[in-house]
Amino acid sequence: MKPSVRLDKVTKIYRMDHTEVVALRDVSLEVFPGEFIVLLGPSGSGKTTLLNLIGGLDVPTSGLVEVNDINVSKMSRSQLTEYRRRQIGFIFQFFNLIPTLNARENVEFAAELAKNPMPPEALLKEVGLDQRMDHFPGELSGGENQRVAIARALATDPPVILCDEPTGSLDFETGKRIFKLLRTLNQSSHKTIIVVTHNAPVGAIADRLIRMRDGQIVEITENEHPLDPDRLEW
Amino acid sequence: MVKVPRIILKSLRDLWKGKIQYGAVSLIIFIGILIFVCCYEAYLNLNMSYNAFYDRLNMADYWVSVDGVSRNAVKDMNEIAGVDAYGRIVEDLFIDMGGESGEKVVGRVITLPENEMPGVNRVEIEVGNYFSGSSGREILVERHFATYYNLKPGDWLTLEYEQVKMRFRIRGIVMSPEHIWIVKSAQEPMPTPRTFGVIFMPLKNAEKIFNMEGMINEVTISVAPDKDRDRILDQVKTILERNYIKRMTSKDDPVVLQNRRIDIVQGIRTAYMTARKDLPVVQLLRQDMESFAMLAFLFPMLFLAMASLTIYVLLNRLVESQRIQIGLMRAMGYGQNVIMLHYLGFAIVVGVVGSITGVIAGHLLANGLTEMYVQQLNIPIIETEVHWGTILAGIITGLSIPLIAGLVPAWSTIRIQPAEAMRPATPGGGNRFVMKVLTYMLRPFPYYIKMPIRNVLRNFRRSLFMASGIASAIIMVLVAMSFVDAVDESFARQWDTVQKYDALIHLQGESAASNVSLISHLEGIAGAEAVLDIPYRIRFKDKKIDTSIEGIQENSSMLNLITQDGTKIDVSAESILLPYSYKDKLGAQIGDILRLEPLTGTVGETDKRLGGYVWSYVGGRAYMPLREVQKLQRDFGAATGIMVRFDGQPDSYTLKRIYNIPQVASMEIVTDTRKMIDEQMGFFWVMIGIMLLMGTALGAAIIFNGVMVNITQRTREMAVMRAVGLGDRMLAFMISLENILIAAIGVAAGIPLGKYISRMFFEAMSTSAEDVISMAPPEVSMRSYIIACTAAVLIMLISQIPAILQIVNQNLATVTKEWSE
Repeated sequence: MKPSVRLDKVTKIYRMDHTEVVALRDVSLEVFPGEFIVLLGPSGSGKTTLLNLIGGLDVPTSGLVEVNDINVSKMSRSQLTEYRRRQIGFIFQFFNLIPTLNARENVEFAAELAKNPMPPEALLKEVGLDQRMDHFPGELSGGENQRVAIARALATDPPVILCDEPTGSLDFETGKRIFKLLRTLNQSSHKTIIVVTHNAPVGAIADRLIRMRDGQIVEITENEHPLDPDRLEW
Repeated sequence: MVKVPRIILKSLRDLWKGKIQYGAVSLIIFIGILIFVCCYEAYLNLNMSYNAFYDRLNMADYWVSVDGVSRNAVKDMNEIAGVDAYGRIVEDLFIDMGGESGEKVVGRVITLPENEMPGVNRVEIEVGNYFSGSSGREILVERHFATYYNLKPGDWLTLEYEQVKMRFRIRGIVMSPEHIWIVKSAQEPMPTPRTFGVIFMPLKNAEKIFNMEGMINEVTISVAPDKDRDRILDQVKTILERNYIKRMTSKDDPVVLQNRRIDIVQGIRTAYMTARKDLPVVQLLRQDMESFAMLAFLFPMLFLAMASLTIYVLLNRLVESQRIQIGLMRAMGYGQNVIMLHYLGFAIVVGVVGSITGVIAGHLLANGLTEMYVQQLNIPIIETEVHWGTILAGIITGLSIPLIAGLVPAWSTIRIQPAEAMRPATPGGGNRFVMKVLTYMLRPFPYYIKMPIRNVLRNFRRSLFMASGIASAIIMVLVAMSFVDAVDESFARQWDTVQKYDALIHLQGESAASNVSLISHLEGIAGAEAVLDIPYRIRFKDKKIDTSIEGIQENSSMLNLITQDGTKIDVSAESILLPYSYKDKLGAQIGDILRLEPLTGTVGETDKRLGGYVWSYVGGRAYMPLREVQKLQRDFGAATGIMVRFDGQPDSYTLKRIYNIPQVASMEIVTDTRKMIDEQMGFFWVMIGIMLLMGTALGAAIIFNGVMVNITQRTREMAVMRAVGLGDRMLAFMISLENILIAAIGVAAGIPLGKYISRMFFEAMSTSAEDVISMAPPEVSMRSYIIACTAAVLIMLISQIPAILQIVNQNLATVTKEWSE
């Protein structure tokens, strides 16, 4: 099977004044369509950098990043914009909803970018917010906000969903429900989902668990029987 | 239903959220555009109204004064295609107003045909009727004079010429385009209606009074617009030559004295032609109108500059506060141009709202302003129209200023890297070195003093914006107040420093200087000094000015001449003093030799060294010692006037004794002149009031925005302070202290800038070399500084109230929750 995401000897160096910080060092990785991946590692291990490179939010210093046969590492700014629009859906720790738009409008905000968007109402219904569509972010709970963010990420029907600490600011129960939702979406729509977290038990729900440290992949574990998110404990 | 794209909906919601701040910027643009459109349209309307009035009464294009010419010459002029000429007699006599003091008034008689209005320089009947044609003793009285003396049709006036008194019945009160403002001469542009009046009389009566049967002494000529004016003037000259007027001179075509001598020896008569643009009344109006037009440009410039600064800061703040949203949009696939346009949209909306409303309000107010101005001058015609050019210029300016100012912040969104933007920005800590020094210096102070001082320097750009708001309010108030100061200073200089006399008696006849001794010995007179005023042309190199030279006593106690900077300067036998307004016209430096040529008579031509430039408020004349002017005139008894100081308030007996002296023509009382000028200043004070109001609005809008930006950027920080137990009052105190410190920076910058801009405004508004009225240079008074600074600080303290209320009323739980959004 052809990989959905392929990284080959990717290095990312940040230059700040006179110092250089190597965020990723010679990282190679293949993620296959429909896989649910969890990237695990302590702060500063490079997991968010890796996610940003896959998402086209940043470009590597060297190496190749390829997503669905598209070479992301050599793209111009406008090509990256188009790439993100078609290929990637983002989910962030702090939801990053637009506070002046309500739930439905936040999803529509993304849907308007796609040629064939998913219906926002259907998406919100799918994430269990059919009764809260007209509420503004300030009127929703953290879990609800993250559900809106998930619906928004799905609005353009991207093949790859990238989640950066999606439950980092949520309580345990709500976090579990979010993972359940992501897993369900992964299974029902066969979307490739990569989740970044520093919460080790979450790795149990993934198809593959990738551990990172000091900008390198130190371990890849395949779960033959991923755990149901409902049974997660931490 | 049409679905609004969500990015536009976001714009609308963001605008609504910051409605007060964006509204404040729109208000600044609104005021700027309003002033521009209102003043410039009013200026155009006024020009149209004047011209319509001139056209309706067919105001002449040329005035040709002659020593005396047969009326047949006028008939010949009317034969020229495109020419409408009217010959008239213009002579001065006395009007005996009776009363206890026996006051004499100089009356300028201008003749009109007895049966119908003339073709040129017609009059508009305000009350009453035109002459009945019955050859009776009828006159029409110009409205300024009639209003002052409350004259009505049916009243009788006694005119006196060469000691012969005649009674005339007033048929009507009239307006004349030549007398929108009463101007006696270029040197005496503002006579009071108490001492000078214009009356219109049938030609036949005037011929008898002035012994000019069949003759006239002035021809007014109107030329059709499509005709060659130079050719027509040549034809007029030819006709005058045929009628023994050998030479026609004008301001631009002077006759040298030598020729005049020959003319007089040979008994040749001459004529002097004045074009409409050179008439003193037209020049006064032009000066007034140009000030108006200048106001239409200078003030909006100030407002729009401030608007652009505010937009810049506001959008910068918006971009900063929405960094994560920008990163999100980028991450989602929104293009850079779309995002840039999204943020530029705020500037566009603010510009559209400000300029469209400004243009509409400006246009509506322009009509009102035109009406107010026209009514003040009692012009019966108001011409207003939509000046599309001005409106378009207003909209383009109102749109382009915020657009340009918004470009930089909007462009900065392109530089924001999405990955970086997703991370919350590190709060600004200010320059590390400065902060360390401050930490050391502020060690002894409590936290509520330390923190405001640190905050000022922490985000210095933000503090500078606030300070610019304070500075702009100070600038606006100072500019407005500097006009008040300039007027006050001019009045004080003119009436407290320069003019030390209470009245100026105009004399007629020869050896009039002998009256000085007579008048100075009258009871109630504290002092008297003779003056001799002779019309002269002053030349320097290829430049010349037609003016008059006034001979005054050396070390005069009545006229205390001063230079532009207020230093006393006295006349001396070796030199001549010129008014400061001639400096640019002549280009002569002190010490240069000037050529003096008398405009009348054949004696008095000489060269004189320029001894200095003197300040004068109204009009302008040169000064020399009395004896020197008398010597030039070869008449040591000559005088045209006497400056008089009364011993207290003059009683009617004293005045009557003065008026009874045969050589006394009229008397100008200084308090009357001052009162008249005060009345004419009414419109000026309204404009100053509007400027002050708008300056306050500008300052309030900027300061309000500055405080809101300052505080809303630190909502979380304030919430933390409250969360750890800082009381609302203490928080309000700290915010106020911080703002007061910023206000101090604004005051420090605003005062010198205000002073500089006031001077710039003043110079821009006094650039015309033809100005009849000149004001003292604005030395901003301490009163103005105090008013400006107090106003700015007050505006600031009031403007911060909404922001402080927002902080102390914010729900801590909500703010905490927003941290995670």
